[in-house]
Amino acid sequence: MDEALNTIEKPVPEAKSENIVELDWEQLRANTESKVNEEAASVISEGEHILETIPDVTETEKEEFFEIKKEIIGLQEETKNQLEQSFDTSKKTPENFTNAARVLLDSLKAREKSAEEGYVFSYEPIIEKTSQGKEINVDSLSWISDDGFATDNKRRLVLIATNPVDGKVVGLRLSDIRSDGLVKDEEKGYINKEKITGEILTRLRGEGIAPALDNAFVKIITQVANYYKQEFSGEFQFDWSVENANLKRLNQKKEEGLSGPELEELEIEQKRWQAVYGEEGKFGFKKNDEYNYVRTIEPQLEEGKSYDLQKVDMEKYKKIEAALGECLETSSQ
Amino acid sequence: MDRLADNKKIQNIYDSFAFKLNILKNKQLDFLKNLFAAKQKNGLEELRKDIKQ
Repeated sequence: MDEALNTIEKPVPEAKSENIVELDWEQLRANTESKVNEEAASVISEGEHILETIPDVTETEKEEFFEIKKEIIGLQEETKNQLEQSFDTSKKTPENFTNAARVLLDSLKAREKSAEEGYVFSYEPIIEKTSQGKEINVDSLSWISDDGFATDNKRRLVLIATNPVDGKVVGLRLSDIRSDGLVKDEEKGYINKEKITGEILTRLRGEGIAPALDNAFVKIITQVANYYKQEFSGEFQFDWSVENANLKRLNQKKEEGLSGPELEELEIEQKRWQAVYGEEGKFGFKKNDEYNYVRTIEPQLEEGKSYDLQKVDMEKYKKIEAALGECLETSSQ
Repeated sequence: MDRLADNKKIQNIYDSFAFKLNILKNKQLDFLKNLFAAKQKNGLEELRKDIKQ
């Protein structure tokens, strides 16, 4: 018994840490829960092992020992509940997503008459798979202005990604296509440049929704380019432009002297962004200037196929409004 | 920075668990040491009684 007691070094109450920022959040939560279970089980089994080596333990003494064991199990359960609750909180709809859904819903409500008159267009829905193997259904709406005339040379294009199982909105891409002047090309002559900017917002983080939504976005912009190629004379070039806001923020924070986990987190975020939207990243962007990257989306016309703009079906329009309304209801709960 | 905040929250939960578990581990160890010492003392007293007899 003495030996058993002496081999166990009396622990000093001290918090253990590891490099948490390199782990994905859900992975970290799962790892932490396993660690909690393992460590609690180890303390209990260690105690039971020592107790077995002590002779003539009475029932009362055993009960006293079990009281401590109960406390350990209680702590383990309480910790697991805390982890579960933190999981629920983190699954909450992000505020920027809800705000975007609200703004879009208001905009669609105000545009209903215009949609009925045929000034809001839509493309065929696209099914995309996320990196986690889940399907998303991507609907689109596009309009120029209420009266059908391009008063400010801006075309609004919104993509609404929903979960095909429950119809809930999981992602939004809000984009503008603007005329960006003429450039002279030796082969093609003058080219009308169209610049595409915008933002993407997702309901859940870490589900791979944004890249899947952007895959659909590329397909729809290709259809826009096809339409221009089919309908208008002259050359058009559609440039999808993205700004590396992460790098901007990272450089700013470095200048401010930020260091430690916060800086590491920004650097990891930056690497993730680069892998998707940066040079030689997944989406094939090229660096334009310090913080801007551009990808030209070429038309891909199929012979005999029409790329006319399709007026949105009002049933679909209302369905999108209802789905956006659900985002607001959920967030206010 | 949301991810970092979430990660920190989990780390804080774990740190608090680890701290409390160490206290309970010490409590368990103290109990077992005292119990063992008491048994040893009883054993010695029993032995003394036996010798006297």
